[in-house]
Amino acid sequence: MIKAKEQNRLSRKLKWFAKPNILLVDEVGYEPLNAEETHVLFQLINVRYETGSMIMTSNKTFGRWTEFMNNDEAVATASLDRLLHHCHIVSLQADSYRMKDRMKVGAVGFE
Amino acid sequence: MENVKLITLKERMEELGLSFMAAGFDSFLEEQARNENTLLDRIYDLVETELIPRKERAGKTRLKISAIPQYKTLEAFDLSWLKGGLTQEKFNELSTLSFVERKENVFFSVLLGSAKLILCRHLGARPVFLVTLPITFPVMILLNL
Repeated sequence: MIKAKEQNRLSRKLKWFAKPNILLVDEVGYEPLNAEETHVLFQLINVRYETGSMIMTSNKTFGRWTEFMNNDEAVATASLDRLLHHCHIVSLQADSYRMKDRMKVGAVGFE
Repeated sequence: MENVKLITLKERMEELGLSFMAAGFDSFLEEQARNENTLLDRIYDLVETELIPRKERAGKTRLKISAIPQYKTLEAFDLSWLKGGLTQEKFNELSTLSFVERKENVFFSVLLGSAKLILCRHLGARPVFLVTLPITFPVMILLNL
């Protein structure tokens, strides 16, 4: 999307992102976003708002969204406002799912 | 004469881009000869011979370009591993994908490695497809077939 923006194709790309029934964004907040990326993420959330579902995964609590969104509180709030308006929030509590089978046979442990 | 008409009809279907309908037309005729369906039912079945494989092909193509490393079914997901946050009832509700029809979002909040992406992949193995895009934050798109 950043590349699309640089090539003045962002609005076309956003239209493309608006089409799917579900848009899945994984590990939001894993990497801090700069100002440009923050605005692109907001535009993405905005274009999907009430037009199609989004599935998002993140290890950041909502209160910490400002941190990875370039400390831009206004944009972070506006993003969360749209995202959470009609949203199922699932707060999973578990150990590593990938390791579960190995743990069952005692190959690894978390202690 | 009938034969010529049949061949011409299949050629017309091909011209219209209805290749699945053309390929399945003989078996469609055989099946229709054995039943007493109404004209509307027969037209419906004929349209389905094109539509169903077309959707399957589109889904396969999109899955191919999705870059999702593996596809699993929700049935294989071990819910008992979770220590909380997702009840069986909520799991069942999400697995129907009814939230998609209502254009609602789902937010999985959890520590790294605790099944959220795996759950998403399971959801992605439902009758939907995924596409990944290389941007700063990994994005996958699931499109309904």
